[in-house]
Amino acid sequence: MVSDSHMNWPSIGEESFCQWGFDEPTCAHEDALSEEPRIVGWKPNALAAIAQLAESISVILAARIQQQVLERKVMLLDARCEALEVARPTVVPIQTLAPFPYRLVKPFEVLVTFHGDHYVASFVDANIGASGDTDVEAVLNLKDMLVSAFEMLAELNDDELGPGPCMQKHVLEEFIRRAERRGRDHKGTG
Amino acid sequence: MAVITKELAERIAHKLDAQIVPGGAHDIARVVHDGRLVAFFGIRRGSKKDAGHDHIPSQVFLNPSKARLLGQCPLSKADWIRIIREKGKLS
Repeated sequence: MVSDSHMNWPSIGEESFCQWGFDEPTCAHEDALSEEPRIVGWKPNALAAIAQLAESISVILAARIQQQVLERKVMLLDARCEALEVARPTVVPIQTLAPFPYRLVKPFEVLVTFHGDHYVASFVDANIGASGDTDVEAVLNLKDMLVSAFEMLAELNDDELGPGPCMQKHVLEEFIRRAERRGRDHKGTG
Repeated sequence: MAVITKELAERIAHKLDAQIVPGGAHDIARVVHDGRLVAFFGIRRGSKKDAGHDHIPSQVFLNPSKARLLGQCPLSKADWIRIIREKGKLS
């Protein structure tokens, strides 16, 4: 066993207490410290200043957060506007079915909508549509589809058609006619 | 992204036992029920299986999500017949 008396503990005198910051009434520096000018009432002032600073910081932070929220909202609205502009349906007037050998009795309009990676052109009255990689391709494909549908439906009697195709047939008949042939007769007369 | 791709369009046609008739830019899928043509739609030519065919849902009288289900497994031809009968597209 090693007793405490055998160890070399440093002696703790009055000066040591003073060095470590303990209030020791007998400290030699006490008098000198007491002569320094004291700022009376600094604590409440400091606390008030800190509180004011904290309030200012919180106001600035709130404003910045609000600004960031608004910026985010503007960005989202901007993206939505852009998406809506791209996806906005376009109405395209159809004046001719060329190059197909059909003529239009009267022009009609088709609706072209964007579907993320392709376009759909629809003749809404007849519920006939077609897709394409571009808006122009979709309209051309729709013309092709209208002609194909017209030919197919013309071969069938009404009693061979369900309500949907029957309606489609009558709508198409209202707009489309087979073009009369031109060609050799005209050449022969020249 | 397309709701209905060419692959799904072909599956829908197959599921509805549609008769495929070659056309110009399209093949036409004809759906016949009880001897009457009840619906038809075009399937684009080309090798791209993911080519969009979002014109099909309205032509089979379904909304896009149900048309997609028809191309996938959940919705059967019998379900489709029931739906379009309710919409008056068979009588």
